Amino acid sequence: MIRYIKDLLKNSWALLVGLAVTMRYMFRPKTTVQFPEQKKELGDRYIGYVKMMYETEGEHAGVTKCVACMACVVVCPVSCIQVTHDKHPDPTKKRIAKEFILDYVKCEFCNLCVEACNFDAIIMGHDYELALYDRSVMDMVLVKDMKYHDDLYDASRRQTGSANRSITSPREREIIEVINKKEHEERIKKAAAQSENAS
Amino acid sequence: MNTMLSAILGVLILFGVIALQGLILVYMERKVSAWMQSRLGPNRVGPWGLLQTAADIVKLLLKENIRNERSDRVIFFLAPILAFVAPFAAFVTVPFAATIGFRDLDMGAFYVFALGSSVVFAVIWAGYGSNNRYALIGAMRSAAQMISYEVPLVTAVLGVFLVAGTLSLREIVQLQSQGLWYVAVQPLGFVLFLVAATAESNRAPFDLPEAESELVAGFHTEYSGMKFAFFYLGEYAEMLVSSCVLVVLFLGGWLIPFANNANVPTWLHLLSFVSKVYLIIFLMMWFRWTFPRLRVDHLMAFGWKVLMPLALVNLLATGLIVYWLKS
Ligand code: SF4
Ligand code: SF4
Repeated sequence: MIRYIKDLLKNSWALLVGLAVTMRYMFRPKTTVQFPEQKKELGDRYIGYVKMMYETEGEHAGVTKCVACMACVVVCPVSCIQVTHDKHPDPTKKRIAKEFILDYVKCEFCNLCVEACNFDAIIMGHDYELALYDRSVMDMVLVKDMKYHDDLYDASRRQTGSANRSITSPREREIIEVINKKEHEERIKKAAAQSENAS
Repeated sequence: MNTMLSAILGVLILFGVIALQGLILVYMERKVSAWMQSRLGPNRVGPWGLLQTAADIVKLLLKENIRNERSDRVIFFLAPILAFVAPFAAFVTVPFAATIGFRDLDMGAFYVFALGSSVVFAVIWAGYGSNNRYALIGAMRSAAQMISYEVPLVTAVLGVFLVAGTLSLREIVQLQSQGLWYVAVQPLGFVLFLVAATAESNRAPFDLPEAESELVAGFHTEYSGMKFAFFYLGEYAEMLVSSCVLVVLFLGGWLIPFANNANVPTWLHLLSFVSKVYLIIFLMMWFRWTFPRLRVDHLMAFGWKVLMPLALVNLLATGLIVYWLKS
């Protein structure tokens, strides 16, 4: 009898504790992210899909940084990268990718190509809205005629009407801002030295 | 002829009010559940998602009514109607305010409980008529549950009737206006009634008849479209009617606390009544989104080993005290 009453009181107390928990949660800030309007903060190392880097300033702005060394083509486990090469417009460099095509249907986002690239020419972008209506546009042309080419972005923008496609990751920004600048300065120095030598 | 007309008008008004309440309650349920789970709840259709339930009704109206080929046609058809009509009819005797209410029966409380227990027929009909084993198991559980919770439910309110000495809901409220509300006189009865009423209206944590994880949707597995909507509406109507009865019996009906209720406008009384009812409904929703579903044997054990003895003790104590005071 005493045990019955004891249990009753103890269990009722437990129920009240449970009610208090839900009541507390009711007034907490909500965790929902309302997707199309709000987006989640992504981590620095988030792996979206392969993105091509290109010169942002100087004489060859818009020209790809890929020098067609084929390291990524070799390392890619599903062989989804195709690169053709041409002579680099900058006389201090030898080769440049004429066309860089990535079959995004096959790509498994393993990040190996990015690790293989010695020139920071490709990185893993921060885009995750990757659905498209048509398989054929998934052959993403990252470089065309040596220029940075945003085929997939264009295609998906056309089809889904999504406005802000190009999310720049911190890594991307870093590469664009720091390394590009440094290389550019180095090249200017080299050119100056060359002209000094010539004179 | 005139009474006929007014009766029809009354039914129409009541139906409109309950349907509207159903819409509001579904919306409220979703919002409350969302907030308790750190979500936002409906917020796309209309301002703050207010039109979400209206959109749902349109969807349900447009849906095809599918009937199992070997189901029992008549019973299958009647079940959702009874599920809605029984709680709907119970509203007839609920006094909404001092001068508002459809009919004042002197056996009002008895009438309400009788209709409340007839909902079990709807559930069993639905289970039997569907020719579906999930539905049948749900219905069987429901029969066991509703019958065993009916007993503590009624035993718990008997205390109130002992104190009040009447079964008319309106008179019970008027008696409360002269003294304490019965929640202060019968606190145990109040708690027992709240729990048993939650079980009676098949709401979580007592929603075994429709336990999704085991029985798909329990007794209404085979129902679609508007028939399903009627079950849904019936559940909310039942919840509404049990909270109305709870408010009338224990929380002083339309009375405004700590105020002189003699010369207060009717609309304030109505407001007080509605806000109390919504408070109780919120409490039920709070239960639903806090407690996990009981297991069948625990459910029975809880009904017979906890609620029932407590109700009996409450009844005995009340009876003795009332007898002692009167003599
Ligand atoms: S991420 Fe992996 S699969 Fe995709 S292109 Fe690079 S190496 Fe190939
Ligand atoms: S992306 Fe990098 S690794 Fe691949 S071919 Fe171009 S420079 Fe070489």
